[in-house]
Amino acid sequence: MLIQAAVNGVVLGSLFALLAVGLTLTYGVMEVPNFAQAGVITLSAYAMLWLNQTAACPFWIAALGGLVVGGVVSVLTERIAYRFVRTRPLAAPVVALGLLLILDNTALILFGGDHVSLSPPYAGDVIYVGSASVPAVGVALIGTTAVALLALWLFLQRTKTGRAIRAVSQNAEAAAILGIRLERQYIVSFFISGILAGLVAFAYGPMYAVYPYMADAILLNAFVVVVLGGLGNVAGAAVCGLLLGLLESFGAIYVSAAYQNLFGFAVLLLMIVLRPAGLFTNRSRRVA
Amino acid sequence: MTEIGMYGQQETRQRVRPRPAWDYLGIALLGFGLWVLLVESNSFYSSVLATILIWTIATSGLNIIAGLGGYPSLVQGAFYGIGAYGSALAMKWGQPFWAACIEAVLAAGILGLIVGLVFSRTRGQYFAIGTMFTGLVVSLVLSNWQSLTNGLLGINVEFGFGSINQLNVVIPAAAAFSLMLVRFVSRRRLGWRLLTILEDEDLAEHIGVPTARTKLTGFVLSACVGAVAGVLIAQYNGTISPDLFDYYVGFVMFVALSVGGAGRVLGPLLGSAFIVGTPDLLNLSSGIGLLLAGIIFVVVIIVIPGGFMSAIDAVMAAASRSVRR
Amino acid sequence: MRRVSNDRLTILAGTALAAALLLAPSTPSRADDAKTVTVGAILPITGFLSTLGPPERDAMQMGIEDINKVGGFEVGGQRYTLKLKVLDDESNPATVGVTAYRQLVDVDKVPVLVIAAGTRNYQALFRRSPLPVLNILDSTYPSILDVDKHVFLLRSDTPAYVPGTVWYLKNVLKKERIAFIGAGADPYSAGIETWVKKAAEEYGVKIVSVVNYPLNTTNFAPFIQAAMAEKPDAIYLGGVTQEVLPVAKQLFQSGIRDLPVVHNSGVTPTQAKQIIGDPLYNDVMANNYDFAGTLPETSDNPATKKFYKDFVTRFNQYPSDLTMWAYDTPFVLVGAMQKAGTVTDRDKIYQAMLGMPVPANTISGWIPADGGKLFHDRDAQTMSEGIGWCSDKKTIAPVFLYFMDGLKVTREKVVADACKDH
Repeated sequence: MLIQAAVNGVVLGSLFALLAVGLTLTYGVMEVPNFAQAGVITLSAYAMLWLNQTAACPFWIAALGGLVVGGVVSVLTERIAYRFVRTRPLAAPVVALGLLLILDNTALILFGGDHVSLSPPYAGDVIYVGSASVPAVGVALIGTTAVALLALWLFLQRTKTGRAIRAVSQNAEAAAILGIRLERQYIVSFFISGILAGLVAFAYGPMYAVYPYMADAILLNAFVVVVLGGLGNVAGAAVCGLLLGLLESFGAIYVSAAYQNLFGFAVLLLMIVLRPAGLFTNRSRRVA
Repeated sequence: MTEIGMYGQQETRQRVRPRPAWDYLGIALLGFGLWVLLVESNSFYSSVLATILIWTIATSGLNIIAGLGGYPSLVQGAFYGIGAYGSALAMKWGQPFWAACIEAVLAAGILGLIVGLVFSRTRGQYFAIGTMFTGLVVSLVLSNWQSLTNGLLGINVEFGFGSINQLNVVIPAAAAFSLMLVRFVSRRRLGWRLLTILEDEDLAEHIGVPTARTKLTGFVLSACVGAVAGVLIAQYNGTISPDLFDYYVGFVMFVALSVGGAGRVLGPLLGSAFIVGTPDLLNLSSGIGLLLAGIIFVVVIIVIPGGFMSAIDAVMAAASRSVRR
Repeated sequence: MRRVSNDRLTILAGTALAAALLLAPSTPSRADDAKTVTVGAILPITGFLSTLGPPERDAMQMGIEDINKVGGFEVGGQRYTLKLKVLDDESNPATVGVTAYRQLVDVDKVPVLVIAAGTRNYQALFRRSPLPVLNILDSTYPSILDVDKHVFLLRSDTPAYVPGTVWYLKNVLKKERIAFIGAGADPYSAGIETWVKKAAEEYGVKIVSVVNYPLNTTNFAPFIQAAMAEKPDAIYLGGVTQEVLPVAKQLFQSGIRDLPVVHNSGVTPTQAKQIIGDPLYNDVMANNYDFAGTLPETSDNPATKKFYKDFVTRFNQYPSDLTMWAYDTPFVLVGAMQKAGTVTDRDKIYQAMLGMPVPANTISGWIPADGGKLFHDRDAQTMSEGIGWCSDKKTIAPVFLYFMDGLKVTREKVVADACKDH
């Protein structure tokens, strides 16, 4: 039981971490709550589905295509909409909801509302860890998250663009004074965020099914993680994602499976009230 | 004098308002016109209009804390739902209609008090996220509490009015009253204080405005008005289900207010008309209708930060300029 | 620059509105063209019930075309043709459905309304504008027939097929420990759960575990694990196709492969392939059993077989039990209108429907009530059928036919080697 709960927790936690990291990246750079990320995930998943089924591409090529679509759509959201509300934080939720409606309904109109399965070659496999079982799609999720987090860490720490993004997210004005071109950093972060969304589509799509609202519900959990970890704090998001996944899994098995989501949301409410800047942040950023 | 509104738009406010009675008369006349429209239209258009008016009530309530006070509350949907479910359940348990209404509004007010206290030191983005998740938690608990709310099946609502005609009078009347309420509050001490909080909360506190109490009052008032809207939608449809207070509803109400014109008396009416009317009246398949709505949200909030009301202002100002020339 | 104040605007708006409306005539209600009768239907074309609406709409359209093809029908010396108008309730009857109801009933003035789900939500509207209502889908417990006396149910409902499922598990598959995994918020699943419990008690089968997952769950792992902890020898899934198939898929992906998985959702091979995925679906469906109404493909009636072929050719989809009832709907309406002698008087049509005989040209195989009537206490019934999966042909085949008399299984027929004659 314990091992099973832990294993479930790691799978769930990986999903949250992957989602949250994409969200927190754009949050740090722009202070925009990017609800539209759910729409990017959806379109990326449909791209993979279309490439794989209608265009008969091999699964891995389709997955790559989906990632590119994710990146491009995400950059488009920045260029067409978010760019104009950077200085107006209270307009951001309106824009985000508008974008989400646009993206989800584009998927609905193009592909219909039916639930369709995205099927990687390992869809039917299962792996055993002691007495606990993990579906292969779950293992793929863990693997994808691990690789993505590592790649992201290397990017942010070791490359010039990555360091520039970190600078902008810490203090945009200072970064601009130092000669960093802000516009370019925004575009790059949204692109990476879009790729991360594509990875979520790749890993999460096979677990349930692809349909226009597939990511709307889990995005809420991702928000919990983003707030817990501190807005803009990538490492914080990754760690808290894992923690939240474990918390919800243990809660589901030992307390009540029906209220699984409730634990996460309750924690968020607590955090917002007691320590809005997150568990890990030590920046003196004004919270209001 | 020029002030900065909630969305960064520049606004001119007149210091002296010569004839307040005209405002109320105007709104009353509008309410009358809406009643005529409501009873003259056939049942389908009539139901769309009724929904618009009920949403106007809820978003007018929201206008107090979000429009005047600048606090982006995304939880109005929960109060709307509590109004609906509260009154329906109270009647089921034997309460007469008027008592049921009061109890539902009271329940929403109490929840508003609790939520307001919990978030008393939270602001901006965090307030938005926090209220949204509160709405989510309320919605989760109520829709899964099958023994109380009957879950997805929903509840049928006893009709509390004497006749449909009475209901048809109450709905536009309540909408007009909710608009008048915002007009009233905005010129009273509560309204002025909320506006100072919108401008600069820390400065307001510094000069002695009791910000905590003001915000709480505004929030509870918003909640109560939202509950009234909920009572009316329950009566009008005769049936309610959990998606009435899905967290999504609170979000959309905030968007409706923003797009119509936050802080403006008629903003809620325009915003609700747009949000409710677009999918239903254009008779498009739901996907295209919502896509259009999404595009318009984005365009409006980017191009016309003050919402439809500020666009109308600009048009009428240009017209009066050209007339004077 | 003086900004135009709110008050002036409001007065302007108010007067303009009031004036315009007092002067404008009210929109005239559209009565039907003298020669066309509209069949009005509210169906779930989108939303979580979206696997059900479109096939129903398509089958109803086929039925209407078959009637119009031979010149329509005659009532009171006048020839009429039928026209279909379907509005989508988006699987959300309480908010979207009620608007659609007002449109069809008050504006389009349809003589009979066809609905699928959400009957209870229309209760207040039934009272305000009554008319005969034909429900072609809503199998729940308690029955929707209690909602209003104007409601008819054109199918056998939950108690007519769920007990047979449990009987089959015990007597044919020899299983006695059931774990029930249901979509608790869905009333269909809740009704199934009630009757599974009643049947289990009657036939001496143990229900070792009951778990229900909330709406919008996509990760069923904790629920599956809770169910398996009690060591069942069969899994019973409650809910509609879009709820049941993902659970079946995740059961398989968790390594649970040798237990029979039973349900009552009426899955077609096309839906299985789409929702579970190719090629996984063939393995997942291998030990899957589905008990609901009879299927057109497996009928002995040549007209029904023809319907099956036409539907597959035209829509490239496998027709489930609901499509037959939807196809028959226009025939039932025509029969009622002819018996009543009117196409507009709702009350007369209602009275006629209560006692009408089974119409000719229907394909569902209605079992007549006393006196040859179609409806037995406003419910029309057919045989029930259990189907299993044929892995070699990747399709379904009937394994069990039956008719419930209370909790007693009657007219039962167990089909041996179901896949062979397919």
